Amino acid sequence: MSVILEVKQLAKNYGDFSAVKGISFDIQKGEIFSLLGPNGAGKTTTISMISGLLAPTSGDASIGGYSITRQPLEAKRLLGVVPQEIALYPTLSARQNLEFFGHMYGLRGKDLARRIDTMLDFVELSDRQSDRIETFSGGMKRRINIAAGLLHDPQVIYMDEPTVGIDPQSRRRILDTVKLLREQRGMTVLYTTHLMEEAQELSDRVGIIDHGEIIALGTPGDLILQVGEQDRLIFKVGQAAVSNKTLEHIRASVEGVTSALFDPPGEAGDNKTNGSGLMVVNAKRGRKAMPFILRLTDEAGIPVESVEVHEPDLEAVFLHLTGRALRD
Amino acid sequence: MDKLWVVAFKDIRTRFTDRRLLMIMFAAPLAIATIIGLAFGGLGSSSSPISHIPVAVINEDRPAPGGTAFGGILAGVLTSGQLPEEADTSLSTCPQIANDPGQGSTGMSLGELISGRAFDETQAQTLVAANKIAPIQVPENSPDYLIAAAKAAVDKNLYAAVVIIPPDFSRALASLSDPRLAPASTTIMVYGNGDDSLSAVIVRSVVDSITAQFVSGNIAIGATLTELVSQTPAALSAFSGAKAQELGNLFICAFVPGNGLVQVVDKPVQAAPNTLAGTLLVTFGAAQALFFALFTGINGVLSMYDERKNGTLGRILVSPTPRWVVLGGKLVGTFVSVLAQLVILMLALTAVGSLLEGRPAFIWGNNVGMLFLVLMAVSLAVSGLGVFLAGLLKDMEQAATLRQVLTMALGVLGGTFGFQLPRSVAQFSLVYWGRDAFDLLAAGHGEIWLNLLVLFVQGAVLFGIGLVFFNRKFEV
Repeated sequence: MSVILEVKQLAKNYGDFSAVKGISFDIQKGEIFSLLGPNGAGKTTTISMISGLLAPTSGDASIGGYSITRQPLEAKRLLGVVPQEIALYPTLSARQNLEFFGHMYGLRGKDLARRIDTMLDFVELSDRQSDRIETFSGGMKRRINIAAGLLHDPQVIYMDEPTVGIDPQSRRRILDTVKLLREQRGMTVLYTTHLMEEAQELSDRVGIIDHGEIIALGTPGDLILQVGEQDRLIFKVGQAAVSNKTLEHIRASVEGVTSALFDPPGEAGDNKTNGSGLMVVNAKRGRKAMPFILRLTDEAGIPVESVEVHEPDLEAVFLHLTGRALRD
Repeated sequence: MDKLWVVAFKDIRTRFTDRRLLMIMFAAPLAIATIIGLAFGGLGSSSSPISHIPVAVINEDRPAPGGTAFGGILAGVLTSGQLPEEADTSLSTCPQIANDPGQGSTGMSLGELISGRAFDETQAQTLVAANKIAPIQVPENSPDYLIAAAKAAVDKNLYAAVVIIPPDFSRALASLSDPRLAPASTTIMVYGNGDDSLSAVIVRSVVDSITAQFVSGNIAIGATLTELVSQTPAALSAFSGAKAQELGNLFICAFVPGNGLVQVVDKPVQAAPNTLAGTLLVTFGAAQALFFALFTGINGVLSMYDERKNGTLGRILVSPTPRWVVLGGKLVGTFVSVLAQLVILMLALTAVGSLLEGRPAFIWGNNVGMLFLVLMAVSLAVSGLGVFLAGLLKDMEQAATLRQVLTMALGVLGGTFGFQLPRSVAQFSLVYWGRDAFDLLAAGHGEIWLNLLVLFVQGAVLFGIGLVFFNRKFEV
């Protein structure tokens, strides 16, 4: 794969304040890349510089080899943007909106009409093309919002939290659309979201930005491993007691286990939902360790009623890296 | 470059598909102007609440011996609504007049409309002595003394206007009816009070109306005599002395109350600027149209802030479109919207005027070319102001506050709300310059170059400054 978007030492200062501190990363062609970060981390400023809305203080970025500072118009032609808010004219129809934004990308005549028809089919709103946007539901507006960004068939599409504030059905449709863009059109997707499950489901790679710096970059699995996060296995053992000897045996003999604790029945605990006792085991690759642990508890005569596996996610990674939740 | 037109067309389209905006652009000004027109002009009403406009009249006319004293007739009509006492208005002289002078009259006589007073030296000296006007810096025996005193009285709001009938007034008119004389021209001066421009316009219209009848009557007589002389040369020698006096009497008859010739609301609509309803609609309608055009113009360009808030501006700016194209498109879109708004409002007000008059009327005067130039100049000035503000202001909150304050201030200065501030203050508002130009054109005057210059220059300068600021400050 070749690099389609390259960011080099990109920085933006407002007086003494550095909103973005010389970040660098690149995105491969056909990749879905998610940029994660809390509000104020520098995510929007970075995207604004990449899309040509803000001039960088220093550094550069290129899209398809075109510099955003030296060849902004060429770079912009290769980039499609789907903003988080519904950036459409409410009193105009869906088709009139698409015509306008198509014109802004230099599309004209039959080519424009054909592409509008294609995009309306793609977002399944051909039958509502003549209706004013103000009459659409939130999900339908989102779909036209996406269509407007895709109209000129860009090589890179930037989608800024496209599933915020919509119902689960529309959200599912949009996530499927993102996958289709890559699978059917080979499009590169730069995605931002607060929802970790979305990022994990969609992304080939993730960049985590905080205080204007990229603090982690890689596949979701790599990031989780990099920060050493472990699975948490919770064994519900009813009224049985788990001895320290058994716990020590589990820690010592099962590969990947780093800790094993017993939370007796009747006492308050984080994972208790009734009076049952809990055995909590932290382990790398928890699913692999689970059968060995079950064999040891069986040998110790401990009846296991149920097991829950809590795998680490990007939220946990972010928490680990910054000490804050993504939504803070 | 075609993206500029696309942005402009989109702006026009969004504006004209927004029902709320359409209400502000058209329904509100039309309703207000119509209400004013109905209230003051009257639909089928023969009277008007506007009456007894204080006017000073200086008659310096020196008719030829034995000739008709047209200046005296004009001064008489303006000062009392009646003819001079010495005028013969008997039924035998004026057989077309009914026994009851009011019979058949459906309009309001000029006497009801204007409360004129002959302005003489005694009166001038009384005003100076009472400190109502400053001492006149012209010798009392000078012919300019009276004029200077009357103007000072107008400036002090003692009169809405002074009408000055020149010494050669009757001779010039008589030259039109006598084939032996070369046609001569003359000028009546109507000096208006800037604080009461509506009354001044009405006075000017009345004077125009009367003199137009003098002129057309004399031309008709002259044409008749010329034709008669060509067939019977001896007839010319017979046209002198008593015969000429008889013709003069016919003019006097024309201004006897009840003859129906000089009525305010019964004038032909083509002469709408000379009618009360037409004058009111032009004055108030133009003011309202300009005031609401200000809303359109300023809000049109400042809609950039709305677009920024809604994300559509960002979406445009991430496309391969230069920033100046976006601003240019906004300007053109606003300019065309304002122009269309003004044209539509003028046509609608014309329809209202026609309704009030009961016949088709175009109340904005006959100089369509100049009218179009005024519309262009006003549209540019308003749009330029919008660009200036877009470049100057930082955010939506600033824009929302300032555009309301500014629009109201310009409206108040320009006389939108029925009262006129002194010209020295009013001329800071483009509403004043636009309204004044419409008034002048409607009254048949084409001397609006200063208005055009002010409006065009203001629009161009503000646009230029706004463009510079915009590129520096307008970041998404």
